[in-house]
Amino acid sequence: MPCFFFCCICAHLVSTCFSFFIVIFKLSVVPIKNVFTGEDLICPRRVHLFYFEDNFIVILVPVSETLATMDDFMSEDKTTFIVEEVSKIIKDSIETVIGENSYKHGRVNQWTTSVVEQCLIQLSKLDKPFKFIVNCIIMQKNGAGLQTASTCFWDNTTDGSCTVRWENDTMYVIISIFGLAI
Amino acid sequence: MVEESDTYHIRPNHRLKFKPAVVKRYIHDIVRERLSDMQYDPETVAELTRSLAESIKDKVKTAEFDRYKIVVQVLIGEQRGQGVKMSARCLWDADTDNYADDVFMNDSLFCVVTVFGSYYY
Repeated sequence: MPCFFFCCICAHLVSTCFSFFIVIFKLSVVPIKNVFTGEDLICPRRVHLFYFEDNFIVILVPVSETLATMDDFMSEDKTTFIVEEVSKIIKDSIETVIGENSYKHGRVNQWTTSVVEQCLIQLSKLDKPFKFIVNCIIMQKNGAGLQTASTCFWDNTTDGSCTVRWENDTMYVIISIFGLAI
Repeated sequence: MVEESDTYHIRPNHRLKFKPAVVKRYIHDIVRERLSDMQYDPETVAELTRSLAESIKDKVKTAEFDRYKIVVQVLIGEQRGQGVKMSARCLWDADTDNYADDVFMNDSLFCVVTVFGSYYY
């Protein structure tokens, strides 16, 4: 699908000559107003204003690398952290790696590594603009208590976390995944 | 609509990066202060982990790592001779992002704290 480009021409008459600054930027979702004419412009989220002499304003906008169309930005599935999807990935990883095995001290190292790597591989296949942190705790069942808590300083609208608690006859497994938007 | 002028930074200044050593010291001090003479008690441990996580997060925020998102994870377990293994792996930018962790043990409980810092471009 073709991309749309919007041209904005800011002009100012300075005594004897015209000066033009042509700004080309890609259509995106955030609406703003053109300060000169009052009509609505559509601008990507990040806009940098440069003041050039006293009377000019240049709006420079970064054009993203992939020429994505408006559909990609509108579809929320591509840019949000979906807990169900991640939860499914975690459960599948645990089932594949540990399954019905009993807790063995010698193998636990390899299990944690494999589970975490499997999760990360599946998460990277989702192809989302996120950084992921995967945390895995495996504990033998012997009547002891365990408590875990996490707190985050992030952007609530874009970032998310998912924690899955799994057990079999001999051990508990707790996996937490944090997704931080880029 | 108009961001501050420094949003074009895609890497933090070397002096402003997330410093694991500094954060590890914060974790170490806070955990030792709060847990030195604590016993594992199933009723209060839930509230204890949560408040410990909050205090550590607030302390790390005072270090003013600009444009960093922080994730703090606290694990408190009872010491009963069981085997435990904890591991973490991250898909991030190794140049800008980092983590710090610390372990504390006394006779009745053990505590593991991990703090992750991720740069927000």
